[in-house]
Amino acid sequence: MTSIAVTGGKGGTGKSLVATSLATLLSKNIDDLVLVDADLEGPNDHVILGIEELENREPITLFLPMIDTTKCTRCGVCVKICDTGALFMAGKAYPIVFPRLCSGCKACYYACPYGAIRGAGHILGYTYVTPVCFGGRCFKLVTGMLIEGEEHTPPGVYRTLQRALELKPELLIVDTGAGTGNAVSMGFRDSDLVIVVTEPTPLGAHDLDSILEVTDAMNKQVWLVVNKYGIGDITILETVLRRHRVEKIFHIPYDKAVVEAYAYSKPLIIHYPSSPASRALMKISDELMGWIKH
Amino acid sequence: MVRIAFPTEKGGLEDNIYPRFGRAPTFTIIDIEKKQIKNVKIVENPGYRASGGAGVKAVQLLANEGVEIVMGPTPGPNAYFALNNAGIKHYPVQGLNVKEAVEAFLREDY
Ligand code: SF4
Ligand code: SF4
Repeated sequence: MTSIAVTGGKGGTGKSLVATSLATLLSKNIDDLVLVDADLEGPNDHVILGIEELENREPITLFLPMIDTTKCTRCGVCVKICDTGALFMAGKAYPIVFPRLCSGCKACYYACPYGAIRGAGHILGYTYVTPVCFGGRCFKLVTGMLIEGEEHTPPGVYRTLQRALELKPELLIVDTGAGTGNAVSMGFRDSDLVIVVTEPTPLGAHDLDSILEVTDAMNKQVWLVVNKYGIGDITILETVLRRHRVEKIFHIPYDKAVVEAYAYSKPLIIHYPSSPASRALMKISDELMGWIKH
Repeated sequence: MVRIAFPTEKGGLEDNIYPRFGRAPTFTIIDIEKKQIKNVKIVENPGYRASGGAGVKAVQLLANEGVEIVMGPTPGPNAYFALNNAGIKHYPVQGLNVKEAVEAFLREDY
């Protein structure tokens, strides 16, 4: 299996456009391709791909403690061991649980000297597997989605990636979450190549710097895609690039068709194949195909 | 006697009330008896360095310390629930130092 991660800074850099376009293009040559939308707080690959309904839903469940008050001696051990603040005990009352804070680590369960903690499931969100076909060529989209208000993104990302791996793909493309946090780097920890999408703006340069710091530290092979090339000032990116290791640089020109494609949920590559942005994406896909074969 | 806690940075009567409840580095805990300040104690807040659940950890500390009232900025929803559960009252004050807040409390002006 080959694994490629597509990442970017804060939302809106075009990360999802690149990931969905590459999956669509590469599926022409690769049979078992899986695209993972690992942006659990706001997955949108299916929107870009024009998919109305996600399929094959499975819950992402986490361990959540339940206190058996017939056994609990109110010793407080569980409250001391919990490092997320999910257990609370006022005076000599029974401990109470804050489900939204619980990371499901089970430490309380193992620590309770009286076997008073039972496990209950806590649904964090859902994963979906949806077949996506264009012109008779298909790939699978695996989407992870948190329930609104949930804070535990990393275990959700982990489970979404697991679900994708269970499909035993030949090529895995991971569209990571936005930013550079733990939940994002988890998306590219095991990838052979990281495609970083940025735009030539001060904010883009700032985010690029922090992402490349992580990829440098992980010793990753990096290709850079500069989206909306032509607007903004490319020189701000050059200062950042001098400090990091990037193997190849591509440019996607600023293109009105991208906005239109997004507004009507029509995949750019399919509906506007001769637009400048589509051509740039095809070039990246061709190079990737060469890199995969190699 | 009543035991009141204030989120603070370094702690003490002259310190300002910290603008964030769960993330305050310390709590200054004061006992008031017969309208007089009796004891002043500064405790470190485990919520200050916590990656998550800072508010609840802070309230756990206050509950363990036997605090009855906390004066400071409005806590987050989890901390708020924990305060209610522990029967700790919350009085919103901001922009004062601890001494001024104690005085406001004694005048019942908060
Ligand atoms: S560790 Fe077990 S017995 Fe002790 S308070 Fe927690 S649940 Fe109750
Ligand atoms: S499972 Fe872990 S995070 Fe959840 S309450 Fe128990 S110790 Fe805390």
